[in-house]
Amino acid sequence: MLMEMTRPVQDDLELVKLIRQGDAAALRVIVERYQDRLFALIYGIVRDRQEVEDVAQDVFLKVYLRINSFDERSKFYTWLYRVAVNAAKDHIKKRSRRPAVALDEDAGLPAQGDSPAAGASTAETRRIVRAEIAALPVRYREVLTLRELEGLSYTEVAAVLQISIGTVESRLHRARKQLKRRLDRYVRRSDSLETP
Amino acid sequence: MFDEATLWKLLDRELPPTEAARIEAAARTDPALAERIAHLRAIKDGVLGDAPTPSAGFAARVEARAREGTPFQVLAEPPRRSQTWLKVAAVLLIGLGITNLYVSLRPLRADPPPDLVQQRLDDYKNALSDAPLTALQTRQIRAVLVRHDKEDELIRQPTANQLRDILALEKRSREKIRAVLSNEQRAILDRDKADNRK
Repeated sequence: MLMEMTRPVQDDLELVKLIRQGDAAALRVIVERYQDRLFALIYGIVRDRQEVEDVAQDVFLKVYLRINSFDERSKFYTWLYRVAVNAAKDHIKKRSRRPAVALDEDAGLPAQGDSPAAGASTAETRRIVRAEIAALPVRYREVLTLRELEGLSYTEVAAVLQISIGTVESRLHRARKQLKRRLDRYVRRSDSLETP
Repeated sequence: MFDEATLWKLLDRELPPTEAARIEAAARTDPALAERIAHLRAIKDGVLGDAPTPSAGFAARVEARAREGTPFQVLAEPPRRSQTWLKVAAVLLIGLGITNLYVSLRPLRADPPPDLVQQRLDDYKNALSDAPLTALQTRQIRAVLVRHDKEDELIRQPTANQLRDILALEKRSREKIRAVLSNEQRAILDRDKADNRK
């Protein structure tokens, strides 16, 4: 709110110009503008709440320090998302070299027998899907996150990830198919448990 | 009947409006289709929702860190792709370089003295029987001599005259030729093994 009062609303490219001149306050405006979306994006890929803030902070600092690598041929947010996706993937790589840690506890699968017998309810479906997303390969997670959490179109997802639209479509389709298969398997298993 | 990929595109709003309207109209009269779409929507919505939000003062902390300057850990970004292949290529290049260096610096062996060449040819002559040489045997003798030459540089590839000399020996027995050839081949194989062991 304070920022909005002291600084007129500026578009991304104006702020980029100021950041190029070393204006850290302009970076702050960018952070405030994009932090929620970036948290969601990073979380969608990293799937660990504890680590999201660290990764996000690194992403914004990279934006500040490497703003000159943004050539303004694409939209700023496309570039920002690309930096964030790469940072999240790097983070996963680093994490995979460390001893395994449990991902989000609250996103865990419900215990068997907790679920309703006749198919999963919408709330439960969401819960199971969230748990299963963590098990998807990163390349599926990133397209899913960009599409669902960020609401990007196929074209925009392709621009962020620098892949073709066809690849976006096929990865999305495979990711969802995998989620659906796991969900169906879970529902079947629950049904069989409930059936005497 | 609409396939799943089309239904996903419908939910993603990536279908042309006319196509989307057609499916939505069909779903209104087809409960099974409506249920399929609802199920996919539930999966789609499952991805949403529980992302954490920035803690209070996050933007201010980022700004403060940016003002601090250039944190080393931020600049030291790990390489985007695995560089294993680069390491392998570097090792191969270094190996190639060392091998080339060794070959270029290795003292060249002197040509075998002419009388030694002649002596080897005489050995062949003496070993050969009276049987005429076939074209195949001629080629074999030449191959042995050439191979021998390559292996230990003792005998150079025979000249046309020397070969003609060999070919002139028409009355030699095949057994002796075979014996000589097999001895030569065995000797070469032994040398190969010895070289490999080194």
